[in-house]
Amino acid sequence: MLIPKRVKHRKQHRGRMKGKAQRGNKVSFGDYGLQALEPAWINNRQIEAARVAITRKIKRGGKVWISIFPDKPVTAKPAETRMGSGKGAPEHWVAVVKPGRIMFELAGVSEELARDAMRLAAHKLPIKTKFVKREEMDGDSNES
Amino acid sequence: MDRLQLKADIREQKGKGVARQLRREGLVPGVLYGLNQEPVNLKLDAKEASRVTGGNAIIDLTLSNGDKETVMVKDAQLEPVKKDLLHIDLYRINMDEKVTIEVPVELVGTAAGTREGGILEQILRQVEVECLPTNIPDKIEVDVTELTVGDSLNIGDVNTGDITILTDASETVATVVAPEAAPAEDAEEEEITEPEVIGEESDEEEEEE
Repeated sequence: MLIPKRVKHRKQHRGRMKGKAQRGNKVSFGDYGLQALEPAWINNRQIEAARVAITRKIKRGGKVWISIFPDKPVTAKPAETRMGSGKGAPEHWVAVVKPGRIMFELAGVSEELARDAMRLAAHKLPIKTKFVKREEMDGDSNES
Repeated sequence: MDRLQLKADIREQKGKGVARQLRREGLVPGVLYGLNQEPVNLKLDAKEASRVTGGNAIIDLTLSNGDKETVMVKDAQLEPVKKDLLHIDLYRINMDEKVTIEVPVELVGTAAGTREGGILEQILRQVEVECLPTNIPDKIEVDVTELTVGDSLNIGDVNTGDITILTDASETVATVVAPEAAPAEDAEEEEITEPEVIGEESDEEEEEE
C-alpha cells in the first residue's frame, strides 16, 4: 500500500480543493490516461485497487504509471468518543485530486484494452473520470 | 507546411476581467510579438484560433487596422479539463530567417523486440529543430524495426537531412524493454504501517537521555 516513508508532521489540516489541476493534467509518460473530473481525496486502498484492476486486465505487456501519491494523513476519532480532547489519530493516507488530474497512465497496449483496463480502474475510484489519449501537440482534442 | 489565414482585432483593454468577458463572448485573448517590434494585444475568434493551434503552421495574420503579419503559434493555454483555448501567443517570423521549433517524433515500423515479447517505449516525443520556416517538417520519422529487446535509439542516430536538431544527440528516442515480471499478488512486501516523523526521533532520544 502506498504510504510516505518520512513525513515532517503526523497530522495535517484538511485544506480545500478549489480550482482545477494546474499541473499533472497531461498524459506525460504513457499513451493513455485516466483523468479525474471531480475533486476528491483518493485513499491508498482505492489507488491500489485501481492499479491491481489495470495490471490484471492487461496481464503482461504494457506499462502502468501511477501519477498520484497519497501523502496527506487523515485523522479520525475512535467511535463513541466525546468531542474535544484534541485531534484524532492518523487513520489513513489520501492523495488530493482536483479535476483535470491524470491519475493513471498506460503504454504498450492497444487502445481497446487500455479503455477496458481504465474502465475497471474507474469503478474502484470515488469520482467521475474520463479516458484520455496523449495529445500529440497542444490544441489537439483528446475527448474520449 | 500549410499556410493558414487568421483574422484578429487589436485589443485595448487588459486584465483578467476583460479576458473572461471576451471568453464569454466566444472570443479568446492573445498577444503578438517578435522581431524586436512592439507587442500587440489581440482578440480572436475562439473557434478560428483553436483551428491553428495544433502543429507548426505558418499563419497569415490580418489585423483589424489592415496590417498583415506572418506569424506562428508560440504558445497556447488550454483549460485543463475541457481543453478550451484560453489564450494564444503569436510570434512574428521572417521567412528568410531560421526559426527554432518543436517537432513531433513518430516511430515507424514494428520493432523486432516486440515480437519477442518486449515493449517498445517512446521516451522522446518532441525534438527541438532549427530550420527555415519554409522547410518545417510535419514530423520526424524514426525507423525502429531493427530494435531488439534491450536496444535503444538515440536522436543522434536518426538521419534528418537538412534539418538541424538542437536536442542533445545522446537523448534516447525509443527503447525496447523486457516485459515486467508480474509480481506475485500474495507476496507481502515489507509494509510500512506508520511513516517516520522527521525530527521526532531525536527528541525521543533526548528525552531518554
